[in-house]
Order: sequence, then C-alpha cells, then structure tokens
Amino acid sequence: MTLELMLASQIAILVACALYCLMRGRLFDVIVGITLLSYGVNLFLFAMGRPAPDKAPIVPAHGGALSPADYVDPLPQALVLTAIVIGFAMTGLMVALALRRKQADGDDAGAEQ
Amino acid sequence: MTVGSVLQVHLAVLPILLPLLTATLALAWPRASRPISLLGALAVLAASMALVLQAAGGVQTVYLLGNWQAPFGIALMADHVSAWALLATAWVLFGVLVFSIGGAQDEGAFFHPLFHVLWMGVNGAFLTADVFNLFVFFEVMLVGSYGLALQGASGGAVGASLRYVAINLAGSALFLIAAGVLYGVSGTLSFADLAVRLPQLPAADRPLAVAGVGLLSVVFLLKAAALPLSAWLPQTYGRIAPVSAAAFTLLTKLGAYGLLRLMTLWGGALGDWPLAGIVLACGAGTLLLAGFGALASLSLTQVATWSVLSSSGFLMLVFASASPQAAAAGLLYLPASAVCASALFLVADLQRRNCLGASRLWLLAAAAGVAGLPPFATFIAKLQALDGVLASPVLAWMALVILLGGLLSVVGLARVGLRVSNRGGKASLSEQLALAWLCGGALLLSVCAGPAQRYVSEAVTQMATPDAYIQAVLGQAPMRSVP
Repeated sequence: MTLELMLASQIAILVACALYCLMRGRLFDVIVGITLLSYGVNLFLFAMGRPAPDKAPIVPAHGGALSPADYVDPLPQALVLTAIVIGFAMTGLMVALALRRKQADGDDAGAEQ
Repeated sequence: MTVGSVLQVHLAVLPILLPLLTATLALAWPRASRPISLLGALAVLAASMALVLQAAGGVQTVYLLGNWQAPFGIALMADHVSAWALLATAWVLFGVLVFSIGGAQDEGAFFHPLFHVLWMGVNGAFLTADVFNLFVFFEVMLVGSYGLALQGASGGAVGASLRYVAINLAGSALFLIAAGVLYGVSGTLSFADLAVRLPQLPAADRPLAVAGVGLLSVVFLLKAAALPLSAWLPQTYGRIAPVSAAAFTLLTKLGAYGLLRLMTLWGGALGDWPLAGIVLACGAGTLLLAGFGALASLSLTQVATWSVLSSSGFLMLVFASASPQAAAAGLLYLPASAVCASALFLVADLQRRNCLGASRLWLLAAAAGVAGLPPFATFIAKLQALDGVLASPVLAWMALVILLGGLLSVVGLARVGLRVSNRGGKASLSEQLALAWLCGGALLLSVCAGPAQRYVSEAVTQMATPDAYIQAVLGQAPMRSVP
C-alpha cells in the first residue's frame, strides 16, 4: 500500500509542477516543465504495468517450470525505455532551438504567448 | 523466389522502408541527394499505388512485423482507408519534392533526409495497427517536421517552431498517458485486440477505458487542430517556409484519420459517452473559425494556412456525422483538399520570391480547388457531403455550416487573390510541373470520380464493420518460411 501511495503521489507532484512550469510562459520554464512532465508520464507508464517488489520482469532462459505470478509484466518497461529515449531527444532538440533563438534575440522573455 | 514475389509479400512494409532507405542514402551521399531523393519518392509513390490497387481488388493486406502473430507482435494493416491515405501522402509529397528540387533557391542542409523521415512517419502512422507503434511513428513524423520547419528559418520561424515543438511534446505526453491507461486496463495495445477487449471489460474498469480512449481522442483533436486546440496551427504554418508548410498539409489529416479509426473501432466501448458529438462540434467550430480566418487574411500564406484548418474541420465534421455518404465524401475530399492546399502554399512561395507573375493560372487553380469550386474533386466531395447530411433532418444543420465555411473561404481567397501583382519573373519548368501535378491530381480525381467513388464507398462499408478488420488482423497467421 505504501509503495502504491508513494508512486502515485510522486507522479501527481511531478505532473503538477510540470503544469505550473508549462503555464508560466517563459521559455526556460517551459523546457523544465516538459522535462518534468516526461518524468511523470514515464513513471505513470511504468506504474500501469502493476509493478511489485521482489519480482523480475525477465524470465530466465532455462528456468524449468515457471509461474507467471512470480514475474511482473515486462512490456510497460520496454515502452518506458522507448518513451525515455524519444522524450530525451525531443527535449534536447528544444534546448538547441531555445539557444538558437537566444542567439537571435538575446532574450527569452515572452517566448510563449 | 523471384524479386517480384518478395516485393509482393513485403509490399505493405515498403512505404515505411523505402523512405528510410532513401533518407539514409541521401544522408550518406549529400552530393547525389537530389537524384536519390527523387528515385526514392518515385518508388514510394509506386508502392502506395500498388497498395491502393490491391485494396481495390478486395485484399486487406496485413503484415506481421518480425513475423510475430498479431496481439503479441505489431501488425501493419493496409485496408482501403490506409492505402487511400498513403496514396494521398505520396501524391502531395512527390509534388512538393519536385517543386523544391527545381526551385531556384537551395533547399538547405539535410532537406532530403528530413523530408523522407517525415514521409516515413506519416506512412507508418497510416499503416500501423498498434497504439504504441502509432505513437512512435507520430514522433518520427514530428522529428522530420521539426527539421523541415527550421529550413531556411528566419528569427520568426525559430519562435514559431519552438511553439510547435512545445505543443507537440505536450501532445506526446498525453498520448503516452492514454496508451498507459489503455494497456493498464486491457493488457493489450493492438487496435484489433483492444476493439475485442474494451467492450468485455468489467464495469469497474469501464471509466478508466473511457478515460484512455478520451485522452487519445484529445491527442488526435490536437493533431487535427480542432477548435479549442487549433491556435498552434496558424502560428506555425503561417511563419515557416511555404515549401515546408506544403509538405505539412497531410499532418492534420492524420489527426482526422486517427479519430475515424478510433470512432469506428472502439466507439462501442464508450457506452453513452458522446465522442462523436464532441468531434462534430469541434469540426463545425473549426470550419467556421477557418472561414473567418481566411476572411481576415492578408497574404497567400495566411489564407493557405486557414484552408488547411478548414479542410481539417470539414473532415472531422463528416467523419463524425454517422452518415455513410458524408463519410465517403470526406475520404474523397481528403486527397483533393491536401493537394490543393499544398499547391496554394507553393504558389505562395513563388509569390514570395517574386516569380508568380507569369504563372497566375496556378493561383486560380489552387484557390478554386481549395474553395471547393468545380471542376476539382473538392467540389464533388462537398456536393456529396451536402447530399448525405441533407438526407437526414438531424444532420441538416451541418449543410449550413459547410456552406457558410465554404462561402467565407471563397471570399477570403478572392480578396487575397485580387491583390496578387501580375509583375515578376517566371517560375522554372519543374516548379510548373509540380504545380500541374498537384492541381492535376485534384482534377484527375474528379475525372475518375466513378471508380474513386466506388473505392471510398467500399472503404466506408469496411469501416462500418470493424469485425472484418479485427478478424483480418488477429487471424493473420505468421509466414511458414520467410522468402
């Protein structure tokens, strides 16, 4: 129970902070907000696979008879991996864009109307 | 095994692999990127046409990636609608490519690789039958579009691209939440398997499933730039290079396509939750907003931007209307409006470079096509949609919205068109050819309206019976020996 509560409140806090930053309308805050949002979303995806303590997502190759109850669903973890890679690349792109804009304008205020 | 039979077996995956190959080769040999890019585009066009012909022959092509059976692996599905959308994409992007290759100005670094990455993403999104795979292809498409939006970027374009990237990142986050909810509640991400499992869920899980499907439809509405979520589109398309904007006309259609799939496949799982009504309202609002936007436009780029929004609104309206005839009209309208809007953006590019003077005929053709005037297929599609909605008294108000939106667009286009100066240089031959290809596409579609009509009617019948889709995807057996 405490594990679920921790995970859920963590996601809620991350997403709430992300929304606050996204609404602030300054470029740097928007980037921070998007980063936090992707953390929150990744945790959420992970939580949707019903994680459990002391259970592995990987089944050994020669384990003999296995019970599925001893393992957690590996698919959401693979999805999270993909989402992390994509989110990281996109955030990188956005930082590069922000730098280019800063070079052009010398100021990042009022970037988001 | 001959080359022909191998191509036959792997035809459905070619629209994804060929652009990837072309992008890689164009990146490896920048000096030969133009011929590589053109050859690759021709190959994708041929593959898309082959898929349409195959679909017209009554074959629903299911391709199992990695030869894994459907709910466990990812399937690609080329049914009538997907193949039709692929051909529309190929027609538009081929025209834009010919235009930019023959243009007087340089395309900019990495134009060709980015262009084909965009193409790959759009094709993959139209073909895939898996929610997470759809997310990945959306991202592939967005990566290409971010790069293209920055081509020849001025200061204003960088700011516009930033907004575009930010709104799409937020959209991707929503998409991931939706995918997570759907997987968490049903244990599957395959379109077909979700269609089977969502109606069978226990009552306690129903609200979660509705939330998942609802979030996914918000993402599609965002991509289609539907009214409350449409502010990003005029901001972006109006400020980036017109050639890039011409390549983007298909991206909003992707949102409308996603909504159509979602409503037909999973609509039954929503219970009394009025998704179609919401999409209908958004579509009507978008159509009217686009009309007023066109009325307020001062330049060709702006009016072309609003016409993209207008066609997106029309598509949402007819797809959600529950009238098969109107939905078929929407499928006919999709390629026709996309090619005309692209042509209008390209004409705007000519005007910007002061080359339009002698080729104002193309402005007339593109504007007439966008506005839905004869002899272009957009006219036939609008007429058919009006016929469809007027047949039922509940939907008759939509006819008024369509007509009013159309009228506002015509006035806006005429107002901007009259200001275009008749001085200036001449467009190059390949630019003229590209415009002829695009406008000719809309004309060809109205010349071949009979067969096209039959095709889209079959497509709508197919969408109305999702069982066939489900059986085709889930029943596809893996290949015994891979040729």
